[in-house]
Amino acid sequence: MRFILTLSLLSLATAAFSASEYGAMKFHSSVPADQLKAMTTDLNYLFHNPITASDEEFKNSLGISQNSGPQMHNWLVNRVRYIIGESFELNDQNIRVRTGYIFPSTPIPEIEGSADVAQSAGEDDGIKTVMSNLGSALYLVGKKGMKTGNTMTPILYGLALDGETVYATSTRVGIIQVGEGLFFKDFRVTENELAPANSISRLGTFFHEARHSDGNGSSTGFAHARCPVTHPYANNFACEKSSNGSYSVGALTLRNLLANCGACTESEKTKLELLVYDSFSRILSGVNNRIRLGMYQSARKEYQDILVAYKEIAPTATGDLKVKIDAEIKKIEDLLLLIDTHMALLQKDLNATPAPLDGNPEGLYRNVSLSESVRAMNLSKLK
Amino acid sequence: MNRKSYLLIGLLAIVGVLFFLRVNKPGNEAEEKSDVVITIEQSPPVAEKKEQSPRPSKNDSNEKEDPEIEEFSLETRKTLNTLPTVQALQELPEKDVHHTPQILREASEKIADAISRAEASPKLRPEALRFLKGCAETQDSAPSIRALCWNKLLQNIPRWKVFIPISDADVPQDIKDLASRL
Repeated sequence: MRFILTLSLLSLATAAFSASEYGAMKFHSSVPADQLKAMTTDLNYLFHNPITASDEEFKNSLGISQNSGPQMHNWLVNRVRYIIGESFELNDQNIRVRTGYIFPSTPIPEIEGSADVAQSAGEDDGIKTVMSNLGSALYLVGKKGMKTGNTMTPILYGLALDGETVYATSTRVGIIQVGEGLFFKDFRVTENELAPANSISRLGTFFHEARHSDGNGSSTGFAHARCPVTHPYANNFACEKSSNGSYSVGALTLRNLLANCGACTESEKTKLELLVYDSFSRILSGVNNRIRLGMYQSARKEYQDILVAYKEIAPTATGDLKVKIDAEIKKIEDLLLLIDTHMALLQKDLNATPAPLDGNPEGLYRNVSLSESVRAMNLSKLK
Repeated sequence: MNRKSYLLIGLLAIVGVLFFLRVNKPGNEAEEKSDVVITIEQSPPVAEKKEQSPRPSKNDSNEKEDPEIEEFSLETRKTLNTLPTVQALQELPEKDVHHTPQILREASEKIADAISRAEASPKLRPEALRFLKGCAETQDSAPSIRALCWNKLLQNIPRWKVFIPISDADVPQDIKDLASRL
């Protein structure tokens, strides 16, 4: 008994100190060393993030009780367990298949656009893979099954990852493929690959992909929606209808980390803000009144600050300019009154639609506790 | 000289003194300082941006003659005319739009550069604000870029204490809403 216990402890320690495992995530041998270094830097940045600014929307969207580094890290490792490189191929050698597995009898979402496998398909034509949630794709394709006669036979797909076979029994299997796109020079916010601003950018993508590991029934994998014809990404599956999908999570993660980045320059912040806006612009559902109220509060503060500045400027102005500044002050004061009226109306029903999608996962998966992910992170750092 | 000539010389002298006082009044010297009032008369033209110059009219002679301002103005005008359009984004293949496309990232870099330059050189700030306002108003630009510019405009007016009218800005509510998501 003691021997077995010792053996277990030894194997646990080996796993924790292994080069391919960091902070409860397993990195496949196909991940290049420089990418591994960048991602472990990102995990450390996330875990040790000195959160000072609170973001309720971020907390609520992720369902975490506290906006802290360890909780964000735990949320991530429950959805991203295996990281494989761009060179990993989905071929007969790497794919495992099992039949007879019984999937949950829940509806299947539209597969098209639901999992981010499209980008990993074109390595040969110069496409740079950013990140793809392969675990979610394998689960959904397997659950949908293969047509045999008039029936669909579900298939449990798995991947052979450095001697370990990992079956997609849930989207929470968390197999993510990362590519050069995430680390490619053009995708960097700043020159130094290991700078906090680049970590924030990559983590935004990580959290986006991690959300694809959530959901059940028709919400499984948090499928992207086709963008409407007037949208900049018209007809592409690059939008979402829910208020808590991958683009929301990605945008909120970026916003949260950005607000707490003391080391980011103004220039880096501007570039990261664009990423936030781009993600938010893909959400078709609109926002609930509580969030809208926050938006009005933010706008109100900005107009108030401008009003203060113009009132400071006005006494030094003369002639026509003074007339213009005074007129502008009056208009901004009117605008503030209008914002106040809107805010009062919103206060009456803060929880109005849209409702978020159900993020609870389905299938078989193992949950990683907070203490487990904290321990894994601390052991990794000792390496 | 007769009496009329003396009167004319006297008038010219008064006009000269007035002109000298006007050119050298304290307000003009203050243009080079970081925390002083700089004014902008009007925003750049906004509609049909791709066909027309977004160059705003200037109300300050120093601004017109300063080569650094002129060069900055040319740069921002060029940026304004090359902002990624909705149509350009719609033409991108699906593989390029799942995450933020490169053309948007490049545009944000140019916007960041313009703000950084104005941050370092206060005399560029009026032009930088004109650029940001023009960018937010450009109708065929990507919403994310317009929102970024609107947000940066509202943030930098009180920081730089530069007057530019915003109540007349031709920026739709959905862009302003997006800008408020930060």
